[in-house]
Amino acid sequence: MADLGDPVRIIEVVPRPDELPFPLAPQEAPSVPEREPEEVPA
Amino acid sequence: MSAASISRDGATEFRSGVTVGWRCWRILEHERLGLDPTVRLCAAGRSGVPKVWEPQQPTVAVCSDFASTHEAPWPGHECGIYAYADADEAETKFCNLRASGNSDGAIGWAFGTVALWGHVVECERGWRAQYAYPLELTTNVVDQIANEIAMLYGVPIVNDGSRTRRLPEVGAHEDARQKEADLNKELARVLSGLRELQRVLQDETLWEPTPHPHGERSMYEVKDPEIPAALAKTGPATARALHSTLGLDPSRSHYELSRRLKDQMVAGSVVQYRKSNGASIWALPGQPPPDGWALVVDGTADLDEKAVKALRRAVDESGRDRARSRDVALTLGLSDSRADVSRVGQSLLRAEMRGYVESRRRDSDGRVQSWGYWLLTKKGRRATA
Repeated sequence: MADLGDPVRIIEVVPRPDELPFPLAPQEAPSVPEREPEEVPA
Repeated sequence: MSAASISRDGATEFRSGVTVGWRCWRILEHERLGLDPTVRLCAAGRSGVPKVWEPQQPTVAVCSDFASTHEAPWPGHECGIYAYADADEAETKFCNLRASGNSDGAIGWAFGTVALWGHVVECERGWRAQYAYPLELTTNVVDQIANEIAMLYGVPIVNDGSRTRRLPEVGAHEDARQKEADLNKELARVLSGLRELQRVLQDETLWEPTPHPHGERSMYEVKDPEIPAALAKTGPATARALHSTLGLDPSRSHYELSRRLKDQMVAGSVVQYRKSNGASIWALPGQPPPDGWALVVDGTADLDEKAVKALRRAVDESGRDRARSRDVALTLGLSDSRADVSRVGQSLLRAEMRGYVESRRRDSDGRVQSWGYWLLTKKGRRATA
């Protein structure tokens, strides 16, 4: 299976809970990094 | 964007929810030490790694390049777990793999959707992923195996074509499937006839090749009636099954039993059959194997036939009805060294176990008389006529 074409981008895919038939170990379940809270102008 | 323009540093796009692609798997038998054999989904290509997709855990990409120093997948490399975005393309690839002989040794094929996650290199026509697991499959195996896969992997197997792509030989070509079934029936009928013919011919056979390798161990030491008794009870059986029938400790490996079986095989009291995928079963001589199993025959045992023929010549030349192993060795053109005479003796003993010669007779009181001579039986005379 070596004919997928050129790479386009790299993505970090995070499974949703219960999307797979077994629980994932922490290293197998990447998480979306939390965003810094936006500063609210005073 | 070219491969060169992508680097791991740029991996910033996050997506929630697995990416779903299409791919195929080979279905292979999977033997396990101390456990019953089972089945596994396996990589379809010859260089596909990891080969085995274990149930209930993600398959994790590895880079098999000896010189590589990166994790998998890697943008400028070919590593990662592959899946196509388009089902038709995946199916075309699948057909190419099947046509290229990758079915050898496989029970069948699975085709379907696969979940991809972790680091994923998105390509023009699909993905190379860090983690993967099958989602929904179509298979071309019998229901029993399809059900086993569904249970092991916890995924639906849909063989009616309603939800997933169809394998070419499952449903898509009913005529061809029916034709194949008819041919299989015909083949089974012919094979059955051939086996019957073989049974008839065995009485008239001039010489049946010795159905075991010519080992160096002495067959005189084989005193192990348990194994033939167990095989008489079970019929052809795997070493694992025999292990259980003999009541051996299930926590111990089959190695010890395998040694005993090999000894029995050298003695000619059991035979081994193999399938093309290397699987092995054991049986008593004369017990027919199931379809698709072939007798293990080693050409090095051909001295057995020569020894019996040389015995015939030695007997004829001496004008008596018997000859010693030494006479047979010399008739064969071997020396009268202990090694050569012993080798001939072992061949003739195997031939005796198979009814071609005899080395001992009973007297009028039924007691065994060991004469130190070899005589040809009626079967042996026919074989050397």
